[in-house]
Amino acid sequence: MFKGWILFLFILGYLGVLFIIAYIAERREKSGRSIVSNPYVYSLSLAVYCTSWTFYGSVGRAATSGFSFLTIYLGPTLMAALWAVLLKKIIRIAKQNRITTISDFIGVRYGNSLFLSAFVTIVAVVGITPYLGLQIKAIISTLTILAGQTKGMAAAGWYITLILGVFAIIFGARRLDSSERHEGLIFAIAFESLIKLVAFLMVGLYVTYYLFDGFGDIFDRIKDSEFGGLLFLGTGTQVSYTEWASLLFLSMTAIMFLPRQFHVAVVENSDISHVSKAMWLFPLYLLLINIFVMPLAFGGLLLGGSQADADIFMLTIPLGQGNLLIALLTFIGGFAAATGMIIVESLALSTMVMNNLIMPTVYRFAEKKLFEVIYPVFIINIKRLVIMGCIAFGYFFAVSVGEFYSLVDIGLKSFEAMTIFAPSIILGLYWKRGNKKGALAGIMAGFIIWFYTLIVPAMLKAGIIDEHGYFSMLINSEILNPHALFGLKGLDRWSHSLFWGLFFNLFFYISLSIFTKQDSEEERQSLIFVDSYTPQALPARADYTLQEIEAVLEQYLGKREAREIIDSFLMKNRLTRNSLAARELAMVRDEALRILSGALGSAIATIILEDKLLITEKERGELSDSIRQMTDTLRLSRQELEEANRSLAYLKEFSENIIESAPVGIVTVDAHRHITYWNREMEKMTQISKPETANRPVLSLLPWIPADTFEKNGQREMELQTPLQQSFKINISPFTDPSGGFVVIFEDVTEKKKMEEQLVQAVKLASIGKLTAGISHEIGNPLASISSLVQELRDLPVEACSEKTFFSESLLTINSHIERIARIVRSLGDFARISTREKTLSNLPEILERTINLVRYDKRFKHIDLKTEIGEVPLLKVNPDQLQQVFLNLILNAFDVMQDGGTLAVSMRQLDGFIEIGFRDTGPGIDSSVIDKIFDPFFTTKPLGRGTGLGLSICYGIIREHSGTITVKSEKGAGTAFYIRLPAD
Amino acid sequence: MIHFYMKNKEFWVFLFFLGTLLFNWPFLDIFNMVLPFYFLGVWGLFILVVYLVVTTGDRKGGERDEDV
Amino acid sequence: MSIMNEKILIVEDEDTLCESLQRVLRREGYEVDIADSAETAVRLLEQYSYDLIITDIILPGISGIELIARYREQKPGQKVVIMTAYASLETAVEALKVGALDFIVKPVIHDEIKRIVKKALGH
Repeated sequence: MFKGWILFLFILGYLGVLFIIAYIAERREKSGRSIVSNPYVYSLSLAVYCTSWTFYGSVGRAATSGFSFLTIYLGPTLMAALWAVLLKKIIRIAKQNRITTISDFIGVRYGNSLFLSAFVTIVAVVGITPYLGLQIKAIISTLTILAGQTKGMAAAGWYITLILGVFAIIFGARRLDSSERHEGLIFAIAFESLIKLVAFLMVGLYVTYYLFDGFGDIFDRIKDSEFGGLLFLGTGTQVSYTEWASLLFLSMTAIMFLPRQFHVAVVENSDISHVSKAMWLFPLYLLLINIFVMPLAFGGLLLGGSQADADIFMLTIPLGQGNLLIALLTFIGGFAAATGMIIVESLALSTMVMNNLIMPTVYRFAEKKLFEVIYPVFIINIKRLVIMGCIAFGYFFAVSVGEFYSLVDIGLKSFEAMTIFAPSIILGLYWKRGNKKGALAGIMAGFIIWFYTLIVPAMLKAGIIDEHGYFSMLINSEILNPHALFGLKGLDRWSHSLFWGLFFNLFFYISLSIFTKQDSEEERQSLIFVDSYTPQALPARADYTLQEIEAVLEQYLGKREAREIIDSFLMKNRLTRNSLAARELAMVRDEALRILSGALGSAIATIILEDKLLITEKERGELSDSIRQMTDTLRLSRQELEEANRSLAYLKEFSENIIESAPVGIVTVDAHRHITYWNREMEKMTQISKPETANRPVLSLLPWIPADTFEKNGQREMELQTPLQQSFKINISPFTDPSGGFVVIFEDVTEKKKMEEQLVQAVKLASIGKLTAGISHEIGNPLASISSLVQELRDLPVEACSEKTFFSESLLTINSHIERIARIVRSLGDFARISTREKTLSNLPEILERTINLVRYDKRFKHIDLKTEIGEVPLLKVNPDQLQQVFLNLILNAFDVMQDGGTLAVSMRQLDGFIEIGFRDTGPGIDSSVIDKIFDPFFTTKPLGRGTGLGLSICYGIIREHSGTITVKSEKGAGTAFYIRLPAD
Repeated sequence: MIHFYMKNKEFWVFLFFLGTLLFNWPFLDIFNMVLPFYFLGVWGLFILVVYLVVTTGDRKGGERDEDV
Repeated sequence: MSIMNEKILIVEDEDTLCESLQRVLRREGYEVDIADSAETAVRLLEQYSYDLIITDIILPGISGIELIARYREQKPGQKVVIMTAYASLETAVEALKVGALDFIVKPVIHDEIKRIVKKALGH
């Protein structure tokens, strides 16, 4: 054992180191080379979570109920994963709104409610102070053990407490602004976290590897001992799965909402990006510090310790082994753990008490004049006093009441208290409807349940309150039994309290938030918190006066209105015109901003109040000019837009008009061959009205269109017959639009076709006309010959046998002439017949021969040499009359140009897949200037009256209908050659 | 891709719930026999996953800290 | 008995008919020459003169009408008879215009042609 005073010196030394470290850190911060603004110090500072509970209590709990201690550290580990989302958001909001405590956070969120934040402060103080006290108790008791004494070294404890208070004051409450960071303090805390870890690991290593043979050894031996059940969880063990889950939940809320955690994680944070590293560094710390907990617990048990004393195994094991060094190390670790908690928690609590309880009270009741004079000094010292007060309060708690409770027990009660804040904070961050009344009711309900289910039983047990009378009835009733509210039995007390606490908390919070309305302040705040709405940063500048603020308001709201607003605000906040501190002036300014935002919109209002309070006349003029310009431009744009809209409508009408009035039928069809448009002309042509066509398949409406028409791509034209004897020429073009579809143009060519036929007929008749003279001759002459011979024969004397030769010769001649006539008559008969439109399988050479026969014997053409070269060609499906017409036309033309004789060579042969018919004459040829026009209708080189000019155009038409081609080759002076090519299908 | 996770709040919520599930009744019952190893293993793994996602996220593009 | 034979020229491209008419008119005692085209006729007319020319209208090459018109310039009093298969008002008019004395329609009736020749020659 140690001598008391040696220990004391040691402790002083340790604290001295702490002071030095903090001081160094502060100096570095001032000079700009901060050693605290990094994620490693940040993460270590978060480890202030591990108090003497971690150091001693975990081992104690492990020895009594196995793994359940782990929940306290698993919870924060899991929660750390959400920090990326949750903590960053909280930090951002806190920094933006200059929030420095958890009570402020809640208060600001719910419409800057002072009452709410005050209430939260009370709950926090009630919930945390016992816990704080227990830390002091731990210090005292461990000190006692180490010093080998049995009675408490309370006095030493008192001194230590004082020193801690001084430390907290020096490094935490030097300046007034609580939103400033305390780098020295944080560095000291981080340092202590390191000490804790190292100490624990060392002790753990000592016990596990020095006193035993490693993890395996300890675990095996425990398994075989009476304590084997500690290795398991669930049914049959000390810890039910429900309790496990509840404890897990508790630690999750604790890591977020314990005032000291909020302080180090949010207020002391210098860079949000540090959170990312902390997300794994902190859980890693927790993992490391817990590795040896079980070995230590089991080791203690195996070494003969009892479960009841397991809390101090950390000390008693090395002491029992006579290892004073290790014991000292343990003590230091535990000391560091406790002091860290005490310092930060007292700072956090005191800030809350100051800001939410004391200051508002002071504002309300203090004398104005007195107040403003001593304001700064007054405030800072009150804060210091409060810090001391918190610690002192904790000390007294520890000394008087703390005997009865275990560290863990009190700690868990504090954790349960923190869950009271969970709904209002978590929901407050994500649910805009969450309002002040709901938060208040929820927190109240939660607090009442907590107090009733956890504190009251404890107080009863400690004898602080007695059971009698009505109170006794209450306690022992079925419904309101603190251990089984509303009859819910079977849960461990933590789960039980948690369940009912959260239930009522949430119930009131949600129902009141839904059924009551928020005021505008609450709405604004909820926007700020939930949607991260950032109103323009309002710089806290003091270089404007109240008069200036009022003047601005006057400009926009009128003199009387402005005055009223200012006056009422001052009155409401108990301020006077002439004695406003910078802070109060800022409040007035904020109020002015709020009012102006209502009138002008927040953007403009902010601009007006932001930099200069008064905008100059010139600036005002410019502002209104630009506003006017904007509205003018807008108006103009609107006009232009209306104009464009009108033009568009007109254009649409126009194009529809065109389509409707077109003299051709226009039909559009979509990709599924359904009709999408049917114009007026189509209605006329087909007698099918537009409504009947809507979305019908085009092929069912017009069945005379071949089914495969719409299959092929590319533009196509075809002539079709309807059952009603109409002829339509249709032109199909696919849409270029990728959605497909076609546009089909219909032309009623029935009349035209009729006229064409008539024309063909007329030309034929004209040809006939041309031939008539010839034909008369063709027939007339042989007829005259026959007649003359017959008359001669008739006049011959009967007996003249000498004329026998003449007789027989004449008869022969007569016969041949008759045959000649017959042939001509036949050819003519064929020709004069009205030709049909049908194509039949015909023998082309025969048609050609027949045509040639028509003219062969025409004496007019006697001097023309007619050469024929007709080869073997297959039968072809043609219209024989029409082809004859063509041949005749070409032959006659040739004859026409070879008036003074020449040669006409007519040929027919098969060439590739074609049958080629050629007409080559040796006439004067066709001039190159007219050769392109010869197939044009009504084009003729013959003098007026002699040629109709239709012949070749009709030939062209006929050949084209046979899917053939007719071409001409000619040169002036070198004859003309016509070539007809017909496909030999 | 991991950078994407960093910015994606759903991933963290998912990880949180997964972890909570792993550290609660169904799994604790399954692994009741080897709880020490189970705790150490899953806890370590959890930390590792967070570490990996956070560091690669940082390397890729740094923080853009949008509010979620 | 030996009347001076009157010379007749028949211009006709239909050989059979031509020859037949030649025989018929020769039997009547005329001297008949035949030509199968206007060109041949022209050559004959350069050498001989005829009392009567009987010509078809439609001939290869120059038409009969043309032939007469040209010859009449030389010999205005030449007696001409037109032969044609195509009897129309136009033909009649044309015949008269060139100063034909008469026209015969084919097929030719022998009695008729004999009569017309006799009349044309002034008997």
